[in-house]
Amino acid sequence: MPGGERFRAVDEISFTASPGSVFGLLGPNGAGKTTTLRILSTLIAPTSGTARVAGYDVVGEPEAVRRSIGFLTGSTGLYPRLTAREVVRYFGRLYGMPPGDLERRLDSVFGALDISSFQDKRCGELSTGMMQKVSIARAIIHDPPVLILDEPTTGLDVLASRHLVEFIRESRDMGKCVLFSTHIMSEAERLCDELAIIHRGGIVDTGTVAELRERTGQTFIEDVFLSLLGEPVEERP
Amino acid sequence: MNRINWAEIGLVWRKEMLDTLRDRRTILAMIVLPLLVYPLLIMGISQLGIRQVQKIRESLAVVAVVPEGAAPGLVGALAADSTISLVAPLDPEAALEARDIDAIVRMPADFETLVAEGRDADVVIRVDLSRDRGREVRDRVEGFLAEWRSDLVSLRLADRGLADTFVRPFRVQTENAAGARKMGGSIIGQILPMLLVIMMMTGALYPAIDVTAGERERGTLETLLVSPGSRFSIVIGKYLTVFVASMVTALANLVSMAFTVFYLVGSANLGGGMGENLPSLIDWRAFFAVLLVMVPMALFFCGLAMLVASFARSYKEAQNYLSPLLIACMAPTYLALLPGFELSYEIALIPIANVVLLSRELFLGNYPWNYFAITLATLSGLALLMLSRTVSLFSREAVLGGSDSGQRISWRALFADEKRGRAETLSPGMVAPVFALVLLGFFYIGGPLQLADLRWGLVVTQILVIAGFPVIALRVYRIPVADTLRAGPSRPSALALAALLMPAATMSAALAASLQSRVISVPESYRELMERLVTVEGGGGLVAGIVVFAVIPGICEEILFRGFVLRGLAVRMKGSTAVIATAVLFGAFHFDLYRLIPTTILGLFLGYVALATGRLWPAMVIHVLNNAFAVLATNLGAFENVAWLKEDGAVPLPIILGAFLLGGAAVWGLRRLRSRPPDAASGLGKAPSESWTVSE
Repeated sequence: MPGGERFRAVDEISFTASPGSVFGLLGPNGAGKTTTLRILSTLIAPTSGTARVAGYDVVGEPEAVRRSIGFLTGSTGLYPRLTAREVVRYFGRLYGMPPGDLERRLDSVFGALDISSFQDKRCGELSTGMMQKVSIARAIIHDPPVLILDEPTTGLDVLASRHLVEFIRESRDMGKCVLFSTHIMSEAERLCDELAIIHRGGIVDTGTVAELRERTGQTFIEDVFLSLLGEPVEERP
Repeated sequence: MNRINWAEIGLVWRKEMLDTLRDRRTILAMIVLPLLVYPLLIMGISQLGIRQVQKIRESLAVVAVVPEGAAPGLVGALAADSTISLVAPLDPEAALEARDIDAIVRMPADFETLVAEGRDADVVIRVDLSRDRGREVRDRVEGFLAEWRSDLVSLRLADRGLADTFVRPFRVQTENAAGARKMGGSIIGQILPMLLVIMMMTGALYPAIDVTAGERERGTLETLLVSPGSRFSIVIGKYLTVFVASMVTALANLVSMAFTVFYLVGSANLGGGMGENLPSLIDWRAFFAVLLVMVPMALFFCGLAMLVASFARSYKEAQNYLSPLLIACMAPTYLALLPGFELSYEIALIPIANVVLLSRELFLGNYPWNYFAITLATLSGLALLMLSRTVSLFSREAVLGGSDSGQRISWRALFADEKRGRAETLSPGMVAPVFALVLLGFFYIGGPLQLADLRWGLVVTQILVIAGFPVIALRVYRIPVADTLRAGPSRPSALALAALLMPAATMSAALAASLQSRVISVPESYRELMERLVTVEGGGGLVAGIVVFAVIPGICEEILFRGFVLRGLAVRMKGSTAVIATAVLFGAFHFDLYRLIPTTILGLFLGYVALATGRLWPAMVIHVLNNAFAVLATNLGAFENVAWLKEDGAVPLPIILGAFLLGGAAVWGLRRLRSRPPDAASGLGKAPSESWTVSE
């Protein structure tokens, strides 16, 4: 907002995520997860500091960064009056893919995600699960080395969430670097190779789930989280 | 954004066009509605109108003559008229009231004697002129009587052996220099360009919202901006879509209008017997030329609408922003309808008004290409400006929106009596409704008061509405009044510097007024009115005049503008932007086209001083001095002979230079004042630390 009230959303956040792994940002609502991911996606310019994504600087080379990432959020929308194929094709073209390659890639991605059967339906007529698949196709159409997923399971039912979890695993196995934010403990525990706990705009601790358990002396991931945040942990029988 | 990537722009444009064309609502507004509206509405209604008129014409006029038996000769002739039916009701007045009869013709009982003796005789036609039928019957009876009278005159002249020319020595005729085509053009040119401009703006609104706020509401904007497509290409692709949509709307409207006009002219002349040369009544080429003139109009308005809609987070919000914008943009089209406005180089610089006036010229058969060039240059320049703003808006995170920190004012809160613990602060979200309330109070409370008694009305309006409403609003919201308005004590040096700046402020406003008078000439009667308004009688009256016209408005208007509005806007805007916005509101607030620009310029000075000193008092000093100067200049005998104080008088250069020299010194002083550390002892708080760019 022009001249609006300033608010420090994140401060001094620093971490490294590597290819072929899933890095999770775990934190309560308003902790600064979205801001962090938006900075990494070049949607927001940081007031100070910088980051490198796939070797490119988010401040100095934003266009190169954008080319290297697939971005997906839980609130991502699609153009309701375009068909699934038209939407994904549009983004593929925006990523500068030559038309011939793009059509082949569309066929293979749609096949893999089971979209082919409804690819010519308008997005406005699709179910939430179908839309999520199209959004995934949209995010990976240009085969980016880095995936940035901001609370991607928000608003999804169990089945659609599971599809997404599978998709994240597959991407990791294909050697992608997956950055992923959530406030759901079980999701983080199941998916992430490495975790950063974010609270009030800063990183509280980083490590694998096992390391975090060890450090806090807690078994349950919820308790690990609470004790890292400095909240009292409930006694369990 | 280094190189224009046409392929990318084309890609965005094709997608947006596809998206827009698949939207039934857009197609409806763009093509179907215009093609239906004029034929159905205008032709349908005019047909009905013509039929009604015919019905009245064909029916008999029912007339009663009183007193009965008067003027048998005239009444006999009247009875013989096939369009008039004579009746003799018992109570003619009651019958007229009950609409049983259409007219009463009253004449002296000895009418024929009076006429024969050449004495005055009055015939009165009593009709109900509020009815169409009444007017029609009046014309019919009057026509009949006039003919009867002129027959009588001819008879008398013949008796005396005189020619008709004895009583009518010469004839007067008007010849229309404008041919039939020009007359047709002037009628069409009066209304059609205005309608067309309004319709095409309406046509641009929906697509403009759809490609900006709509995209944000659907959650697609984020994904679009995270793609490597350049912001420039995205904005231009979208802009071209809105442009095409508004041009298609213009075309559809124009086709429909041309058809309707053709049909109307045709049907109106069916009985006239000049059916063959109908199409030649109108210069049909003008319609194509007008479409060309609509191009700069569309360039301009689409840019404006997109920029404004880009600030909105949702469809609804965008509509809330654009409806007032549309109304504001309609104002210049009405300006073009006012008598006396003709296309000139200066007016060609006024957006929208230039397009409407240019279109009118085209319909008159003139093709002023020089004005077209200016119009095109002005509007495309403005469009470029707005586009670049939109691109930079898209490049920043601002378009992604986020949490709504805007404060909403609610009626319940305004009247709530429970203590609210929350300490609110002033915000633009509060300024807008309070300012609207002030406007309402100004009209509905101030108007009647000032009609009753101008002076007291002004005083009460100023204190109660202009200063009162903002203060009441702050109190209702439990916002500290004096702190918010920066009404704390001011340094004497700041007040003195403000006084030093006043000549420059007043002079700037006066110079702007004299520049403006070259474009829009101020009628003499208006000047006299303004002078009379501040003219006071006698010596004691002068003091009262200064209190009423200078001191009270100076204080109250500053509380509203430089206090409430400026501080509220500065919360969310850069200081300079807030000063400009406040000054424009201040100018518009005076509800006077002639004073808009001069008052706005005065407002810039007042806003600058308020921000530079961080206090309200210095702005009040300038305002009071400025108004007092105007009162003194018109009333003080000593000023009577100073030529440059007269409205027309050119101000001598030394005086202008002197004023600006003083002003420059004042600005220098204010800067020094600001750079000095805050003086804690004098309780000035953070006043000097306030700066132009950083808002609190």
